Amino acid sequence: MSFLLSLLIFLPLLAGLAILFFGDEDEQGFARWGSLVVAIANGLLSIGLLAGAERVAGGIQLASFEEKRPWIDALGIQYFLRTDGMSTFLIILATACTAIAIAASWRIVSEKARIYYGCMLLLSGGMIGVLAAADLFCFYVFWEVMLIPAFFLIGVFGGEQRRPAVIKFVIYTMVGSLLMLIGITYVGWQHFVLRGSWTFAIDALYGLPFRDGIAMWPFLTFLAAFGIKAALFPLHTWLPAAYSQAPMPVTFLLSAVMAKLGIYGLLRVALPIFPEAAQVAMPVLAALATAGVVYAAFVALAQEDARLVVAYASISHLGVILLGVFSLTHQAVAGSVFHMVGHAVTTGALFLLVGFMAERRGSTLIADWGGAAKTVPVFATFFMLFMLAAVGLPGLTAFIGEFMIFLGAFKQHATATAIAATSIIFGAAYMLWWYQRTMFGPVQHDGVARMADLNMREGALLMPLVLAIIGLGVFPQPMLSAIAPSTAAYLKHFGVAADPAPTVSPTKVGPPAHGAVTHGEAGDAAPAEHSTQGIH
Amino acid sequence: MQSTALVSLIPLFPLVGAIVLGLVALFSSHREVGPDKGLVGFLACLGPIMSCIVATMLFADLRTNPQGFVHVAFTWFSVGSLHVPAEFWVDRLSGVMIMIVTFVGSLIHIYSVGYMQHERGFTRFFAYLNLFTFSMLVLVLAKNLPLMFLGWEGVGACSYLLIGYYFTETEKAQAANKAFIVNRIGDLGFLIGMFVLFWYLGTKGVWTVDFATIRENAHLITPAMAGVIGILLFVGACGKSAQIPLHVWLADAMAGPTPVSALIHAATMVTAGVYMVARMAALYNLAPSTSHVIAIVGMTTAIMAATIAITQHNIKKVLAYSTVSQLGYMFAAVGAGAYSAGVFHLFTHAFFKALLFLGAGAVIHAMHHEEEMDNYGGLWKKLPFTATTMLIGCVAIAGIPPLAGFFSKDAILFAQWQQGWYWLWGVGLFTSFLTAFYMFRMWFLTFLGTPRDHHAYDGAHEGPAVMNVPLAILAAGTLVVGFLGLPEAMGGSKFAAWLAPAVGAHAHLPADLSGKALEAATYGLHQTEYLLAAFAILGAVAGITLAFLRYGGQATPVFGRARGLFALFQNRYFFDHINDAVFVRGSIDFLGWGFRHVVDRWIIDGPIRGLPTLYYKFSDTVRVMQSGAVRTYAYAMLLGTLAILFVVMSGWSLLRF
Repeated sequence: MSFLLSLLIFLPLLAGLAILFFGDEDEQGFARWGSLVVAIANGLLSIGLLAGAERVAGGIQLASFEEKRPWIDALGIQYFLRTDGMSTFLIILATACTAIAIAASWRIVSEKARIYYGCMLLLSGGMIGVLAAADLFCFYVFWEVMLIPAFFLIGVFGGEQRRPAVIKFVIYTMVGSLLMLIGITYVGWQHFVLRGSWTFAIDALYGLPFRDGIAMWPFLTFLAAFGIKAALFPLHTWLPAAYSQAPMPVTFLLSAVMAKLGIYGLLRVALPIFPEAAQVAMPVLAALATAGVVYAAFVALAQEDARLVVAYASISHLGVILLGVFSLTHQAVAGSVFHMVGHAVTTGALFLLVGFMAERRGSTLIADWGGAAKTVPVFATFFMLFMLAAVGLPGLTAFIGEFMIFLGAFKQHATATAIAATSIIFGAAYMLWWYQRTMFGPVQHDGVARMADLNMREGALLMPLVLAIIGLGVFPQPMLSAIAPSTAAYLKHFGVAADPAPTVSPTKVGPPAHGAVTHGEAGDAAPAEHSTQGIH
Repeated sequence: MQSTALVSLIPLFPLVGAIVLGLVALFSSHREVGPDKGLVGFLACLGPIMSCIVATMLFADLRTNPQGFVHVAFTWFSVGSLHVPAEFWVDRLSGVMIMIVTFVGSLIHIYSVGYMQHERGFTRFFAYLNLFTFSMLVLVLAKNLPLMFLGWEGVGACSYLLIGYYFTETEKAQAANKAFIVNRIGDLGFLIGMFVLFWYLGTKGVWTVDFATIRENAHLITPAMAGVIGILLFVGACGKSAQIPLHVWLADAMAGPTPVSALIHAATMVTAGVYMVARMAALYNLAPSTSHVIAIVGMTTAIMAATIAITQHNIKKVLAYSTVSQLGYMFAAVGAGAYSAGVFHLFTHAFFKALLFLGAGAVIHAMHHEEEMDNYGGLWKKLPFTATTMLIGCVAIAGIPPLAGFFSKDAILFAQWQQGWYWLWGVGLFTSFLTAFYMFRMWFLTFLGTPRDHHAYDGAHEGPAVMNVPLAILAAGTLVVGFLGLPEAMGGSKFAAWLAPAVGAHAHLPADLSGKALEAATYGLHQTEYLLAAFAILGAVAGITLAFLRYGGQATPVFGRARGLFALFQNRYFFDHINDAVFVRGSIDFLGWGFRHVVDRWIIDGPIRGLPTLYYKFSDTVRVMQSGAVRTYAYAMLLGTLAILFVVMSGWSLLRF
């Protein structure tokens, strides 16, 4: 299907507009059922992106989807969409999370349903558009399309403190967008100056020999836009405000998908268009990412509200992904892309649970909880699984990404990585402490004692996340192998060659050194260099 | 190495058990009456026992196939030069470990069916216990570092779940947190050690995280680098195996049910650090100063924990500090390059410490969950079987020949002597005296004298057969397994010979001797062994005697407030106080609070929050200019446009990017 990408974008966009304009003011059935059906249909359609994937040695290889039509010829702007290993899984993630978020809103939203559900679909369509865009102008248009419904979702449906939250969100986002627009204009114009024609096709902009050296300031305009979205320290303070005030399904969608778009923008646009500037800035950026990891972990430790614990945890984990993005090794970059999905399902699941907490208890303050594991054991079990996933327990998905990021980043930023890796300690500290104060101990509140356990609808919402958390933790290789060719292509812009092949076990390399220690029997290793004798 | 899928079956059985039991527990969590305990117990024991059978089959084959068996289940993850298969490896070293884990593990599962009979979360308990067995088997069978790390963290998580098993009690839940977080400090060292090793070997052209490949290419690592990697990995071992300064979690971990203490916090998980060091023997052999540090840390931990153990009143705390102390011995051994001696002590310790814990569990069970020895006394009459089996354990750990602990501890002390580390030998010997003292103090306080809590005493009775049979089997093991590791003078250690293909032979004599010189050296070696053994026995006997004099006959032993040095011991050298004041409060009340309320709120957010205010002020000001006169607007627009045009025309060159 050559128009699959357009369908994935415009189905939610058009359906969202229809619900927004034709939805009934008082009747919410049409809005929520309509949006749910569209979201689920889109989720199923997005699986079509895996069609044409082939089994290759060591994993799978994705087929590429592409659409290209002229749009504004005078400026070389095209309607140009394309997917690769970096974007495919994020699109599937976005459609799946949209469906979950809409289903999770069932009880939360009763008034102005058409605005809520319409905006949800518009937000979703915008995000998918950003992920699919192969033309920088399209990218920008979808970026803006995504932001506007987000303002409304926070500003109209948010909690008591929604006004300052949405003002902060707007200011940050607007500043970022404007700067990015300047940067986009600059690169298109540079292409005109250097190559004689206007274009905004992203891959045509790679490797431009900019007039003024490394083009640091245009790089910084993009960095600002994407750094804000990805909550790069110290641009992060909009995030806890927005996440804690938005309705939990919206926060779920923002944290699972929208925050990832900042990171995606860095990998797709900012870093590969300005490789020299990026490489100059990387030590500083890695240091900022690391500062964010540790800083947010400590702030999370001092929170009294579960929503803010998870919000700061999210900043801390995004810092880990950013550290991977700012490292030029195959493990770190592939790990970052993988961890975008891993972090999405893990943090997303926690935010959903926090939403269920608020529905049950009417409060997410930690002090209002305690001992709930006794009254809601099933809830506690899911919570435990998500909590262990969030602290990066091996066998669950977040570990794979974090491990590869830390391992890969260590080669380039050893000190920063060693500091960032302390998050495995502090992350465990705030998560476990939160869990203990919420779930363990004696029951101290009537509200907790009378609480109902998870129902079937809630369990069904969490099930896809549970499957992703365990499935991608145990069998990450198919997805990783599909991501790796795209990240390898990305690294070529920085002159990073393919890694040497792993040494096959057990192989002895080189002659034994003098005075080498004997290890009992020498094993069945072959003395020749790089011999592949062994068990495989 | 031979490839066989049987290897992967070993961890699979308990994993299936954990999943089945976990789902049963989840779906029955709201039922008043849980699922049938007999059936759950049977399912729970099935996995470990099946694993034990397969493990025994492979173990038997290791006699003729010293390189062992491998199996690649699937590729876990692989990008670029990093290739991490889910590959399991039974060699002589992991073979010993799987025998311990599945055999002792099965016995403790069986015992637990009796011990946990009256608990509400019966199914949940066994789901965790099976999951633990799976993780521990992955840890020891893993053929590469990341997969070992999976098991390493997995056992930590199960330990966390089981320490916090009685989660309605806040203190127990906090103990669980503490265990997990302190372990994470160690895990950070483990991770970074892994990274350094990977990238460093990569610069030498070897891209691997595989144990066998690392071993084959260890000679490429410079001694300095081997020392760095060795120390980092050892930090991980310190966390898991409770060595100074990361030992603080293990005593609190006694909050878990007693069979958990026996399996996880004595026989298996806490020995993982020792196992890891032995697994990386080729690396540690290159770094003698790092190895020396390990031995010093080990021996220091041994004596520190022993001094704490002599002041404890809680029977499980005595055993916990005893475990810390014995783990210290094991590290002293592997630090001295005597890997087989370290693993041998691990092996014998698994028997007698599991026996002691299960015995203590029987006492606690009989005394209605009373753990303070202040309320025990005279139980010999009520619990003769438990008293006898525990006495066997006490004699073994005290180091009286020919029981298991004597030979294994003797080999460790001898290794210190041979290295010329006479100080460490002396400390080890004194620790062995303390060990005998506190273990018999425990036994005398529990079983001799007169009952101090008559109500509990009157109701005390022996546990069911399902608890006693494992005790009997472990006691029998404690009596005989020592003979596997005889000193050179008595024919040499079969155990060391068995492990040699995996960890290297530990030479007792220089290799270049022959004829008369060899004979003389051998004679000298044997005389030294006998002499040192005599010292060790004397120390143990002295400890037992002192304990008897102090606690044996007295009807009501004095439990006064400890003073002076003993106050230091009883307060656990104030480690917990300092950690809490500096690290815990410092993180939460100083850094966390400061970052949240000062940095985030004012330094970063202050200017941003100021913007809207500024905006409103500005709009108030410009509102004055909204006169409504269209001509004014038109003039303003014209002026503005002209200004922009001017800037654009004249400043184009200035605006050049």
